[in-house]
Amino acid sequence: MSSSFAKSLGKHLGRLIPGPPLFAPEGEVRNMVVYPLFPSKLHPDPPDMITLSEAMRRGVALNDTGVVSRVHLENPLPTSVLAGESEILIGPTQLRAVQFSCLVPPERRIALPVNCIEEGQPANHQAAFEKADACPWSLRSYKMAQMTEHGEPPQYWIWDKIKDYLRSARTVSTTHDLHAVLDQNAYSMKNLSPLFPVQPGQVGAVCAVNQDLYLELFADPEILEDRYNNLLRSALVEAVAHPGDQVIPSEMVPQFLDQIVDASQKSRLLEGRGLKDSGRSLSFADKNITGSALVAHGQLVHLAAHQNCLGFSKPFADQQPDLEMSRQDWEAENPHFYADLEDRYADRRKRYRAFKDKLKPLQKSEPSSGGMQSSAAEEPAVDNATPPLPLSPYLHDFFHQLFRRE
Amino acid sequence: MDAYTSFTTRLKSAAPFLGGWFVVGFAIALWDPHPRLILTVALGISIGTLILGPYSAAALYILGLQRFWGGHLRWPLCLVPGLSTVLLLDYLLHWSNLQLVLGSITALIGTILGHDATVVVLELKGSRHLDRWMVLFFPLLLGLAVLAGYSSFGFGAGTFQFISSFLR
Repeated sequence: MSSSFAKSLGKHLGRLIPGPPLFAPEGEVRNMVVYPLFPSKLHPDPPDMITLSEAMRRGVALNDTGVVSRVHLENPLPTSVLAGESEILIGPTQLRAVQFSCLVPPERRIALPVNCIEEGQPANHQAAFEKADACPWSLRSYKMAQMTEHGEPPQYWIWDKIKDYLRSARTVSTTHDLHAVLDQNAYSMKNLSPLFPVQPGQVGAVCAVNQDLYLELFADPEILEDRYNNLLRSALVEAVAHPGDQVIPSEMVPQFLDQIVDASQKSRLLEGRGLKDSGRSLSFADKNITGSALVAHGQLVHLAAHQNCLGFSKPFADQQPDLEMSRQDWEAENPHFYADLEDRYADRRKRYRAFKDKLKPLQKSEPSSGGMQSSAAEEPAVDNATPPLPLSPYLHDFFHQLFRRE
Repeated sequence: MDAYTSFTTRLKSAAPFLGGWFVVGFAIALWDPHPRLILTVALGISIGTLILGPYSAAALYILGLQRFWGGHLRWPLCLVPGLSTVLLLDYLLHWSNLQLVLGSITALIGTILGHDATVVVLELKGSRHLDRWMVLFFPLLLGLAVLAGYSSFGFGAGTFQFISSFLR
């Protein structure tokens, strides 16, 4: 499985066309450069799935089970939903991050594997999550490494990691909320985001931030377009929270892609009950590379990877002339690239938008639906979803404070 | 209260609660100093918290009974073990009516405390934050607080008798 996955991943990455670097020409952010990735071949048909954020706007419900590691996801839509690795789920309860990328089949209820990213906040049973947001890469990378080693990241290690991260980002949160870092830096990120725009037809990006390289890749440009804001925020928050003036040089980007393929030779299959028929999620880690992937029907759906290149970063100011030249060279060598890709992509995008506009939750009375199907994960999810509730919230708080030590 | 505090600090913050049980012990001593009543209350609260409450929570959690009746089944399920235990003890030990009433009340309170304490233990289980010593000691301290209140009355009364006879 691992070597065949590495082989197909190698083929997939080999077919990508790296785009010209995107950076802040005026030096607004001096520790981040983005390299867009484009497909050499574009399939004529758009995907038949939507992202979690889009799905939540169209009736997909996420509710807290009261159990730290599971969130109840109900997909009433007639299409699959892509829950992206480490997407932060926000609602009036303990914040969670999706454990690994997975495809939730149409009309299915599942117990979505998650990690708690707000230790000091109790889980509010049955509270509905309202939106999904990006997760800083530091935690994503750590989770991937832990998943490769243990299969499931130990929750208390995640909490410790978040505390360290909040400290390093100089963010104060009484509940140790990871999302507080994004909230604190929201203004800077909003101002800097337009410097790194998404290009039509783009399927991924390598973000060089300080001493790290981050890759996020999707099979379809429509999915990337819907997820681009999160992709960028994941990396941008690292650049803003840990300011610097050094960045990894562009020569290391192709090596990074090759090393991801090498690292994926030893991957670990991640267990998601009720999700096996819709795709396989894997994670891998080797030396300074960590990554995770979602494969469905033999095709890569989502890939996320990180490489720590400690000691290889160089001052942005020294690299800026080369980056500028590289951008000009690329545009000179590929004068019609964007226009051609946009032409090919335009029809797909139009059809994908029409597909999304038509998506409505299926009514139970419709003969085709037969109501919501229950996955293999449903029964355990129901059990998990109804742990004993306290008889008195006051007593619950009292004992929580009494029994909890540092 | 800050969650990240030491054993003694957390215990000190529970002092009003323990103090309440101390007063109960004192009041019982004032009302009827016979040891059977105070022992019923002290054992009822400790055993209810340490055994009956966790037993109810385990039944709910392991058997998945919580999903029925919108989660409200936990109330009768907490009442049944407490009351049935007291009735069984009454049958075996031939308690007085007063003892039966006191035993029922304290066992029910203990079961409620124990149930909610167990829910918290289940939430904290697996993390390094669960203070197992506190989980074990706190129910025992509840019973000891009742006995301390009772003994204080006896001590106070004895001291008063001693001083008054000395002064005469």
